[in-house]
Amino acid sequence: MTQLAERIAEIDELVSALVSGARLAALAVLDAAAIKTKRRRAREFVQRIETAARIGAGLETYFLVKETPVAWPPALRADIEDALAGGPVDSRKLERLRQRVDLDIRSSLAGLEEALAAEPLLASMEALLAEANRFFEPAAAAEGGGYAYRRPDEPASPGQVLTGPLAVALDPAFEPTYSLLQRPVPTFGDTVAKAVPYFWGLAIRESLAADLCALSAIEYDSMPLQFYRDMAKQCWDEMRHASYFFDAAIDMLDELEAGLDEDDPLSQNIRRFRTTGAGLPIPKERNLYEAILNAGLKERLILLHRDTETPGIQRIKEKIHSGFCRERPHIAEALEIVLRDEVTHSRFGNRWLEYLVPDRDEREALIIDTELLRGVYLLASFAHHGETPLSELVAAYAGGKQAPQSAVQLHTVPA
Amino acid sequence: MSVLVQKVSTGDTIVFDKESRDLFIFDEKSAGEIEGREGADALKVARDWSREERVRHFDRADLSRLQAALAGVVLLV
Repeated sequence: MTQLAERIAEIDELVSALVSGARLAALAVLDAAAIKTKRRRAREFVQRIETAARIGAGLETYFLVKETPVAWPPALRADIEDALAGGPVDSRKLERLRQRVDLDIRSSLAGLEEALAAEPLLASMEALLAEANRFFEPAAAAEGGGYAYRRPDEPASPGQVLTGPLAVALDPAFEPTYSLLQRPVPTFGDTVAKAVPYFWGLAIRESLAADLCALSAIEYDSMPLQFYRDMAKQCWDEMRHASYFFDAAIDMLDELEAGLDEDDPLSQNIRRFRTTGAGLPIPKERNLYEAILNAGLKERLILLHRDTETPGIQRIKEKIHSGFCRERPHIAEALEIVLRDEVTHSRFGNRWLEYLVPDRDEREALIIDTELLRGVYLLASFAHHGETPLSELVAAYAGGKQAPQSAVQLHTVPA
Repeated sequence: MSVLVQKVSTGDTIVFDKESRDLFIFDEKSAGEIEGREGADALKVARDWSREERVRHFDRADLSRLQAALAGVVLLV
């Protein structure tokens, strides 16, 4: 009996190690510049967390296992802080940490294999463990981290235990050329001239949503495993969308260029993109990553999920029925998938906001506060990429200066 | 008393009174003075410094105007 209890504890420890590996894959999403690389890492994030969840569920089939919230092992968290100490992620340190955690997982898997065969109720876990094994390449040069993955008996309250990277890299295809304080991002329209710049701009904004999910998964401990699964699912969805919209824009560049004057600045941008792989114009503020970095988890769930994704669902429906999509059914089909994904993301937002703030009145007050502070979070991003200090920007816009109005207005503005 | 004290990536620290919805911004140079302070203590320092015009203060009406001025800047869609 004691042996069985010990095996169960070891499997739970393995689940915790797999979750740590998945969260490190989330950090690797934030470390990647190219959309394709981010997409690959987002895929790894979701695959790893789902494997952990399946093993956890397999264990629960026959045994009463206490639901223990997710947390970084303290020593691993200290090593991650070290990898983030310089501002952006130190890629080499992150890679070393990932190898060390993977070696811990391999060694845990190897130890369990034989023990499980001897216990009939756990033998069904073997296939799941084999699934976990497929992630790992032998890494002879690295040493296992020897981190203590056994979770504490007393769970802590959900809270921020790390601050994510202060800066994230940009796909080399893009070139920050104009400020959002001078002109809004391109909006969707029925012409190629409207839709193509909109699509490549959408690609970086979808990647912001993926960054948000990765950031929340690494920064916050003591949430249920389902939270990390939802963040991983959304991160993967958003990177699929980013990758699709980027490729769709590139596929239509010829058509876009054909309609432009030769001396049109956009025509020059496209020619440069063709010869150097860089030059597609985007805002100097990029994808406003700092606005999200500076907001807490609850504020992110309000700003992105509640205030942006939920009303965005109607916008997607309008695009699906646009003349542009009627002529291009493959884009309409892709938008149908995006629509289904966004509905689930909106649910994630509601679920976790209600989990973190169960009291309805408190939640309503928090929504008002967050919407009041939205401008401050956005201007922090502008201050980050510009010359003007945050307090001066806030004073200017609170004093009557107006940012260019996009054709899309999603936010409730005070009367 | 419900007060948000948050250092942001520009180096500034914001202090937000959730009751009156007043915001105070400590710039990078003065942020050290508020570091480690919480709740009523942080708010007292912010209000005192604001009276001495050492930090910027924005009231709820300012924040509402800011919200409206930046409503057209979209995060997604």
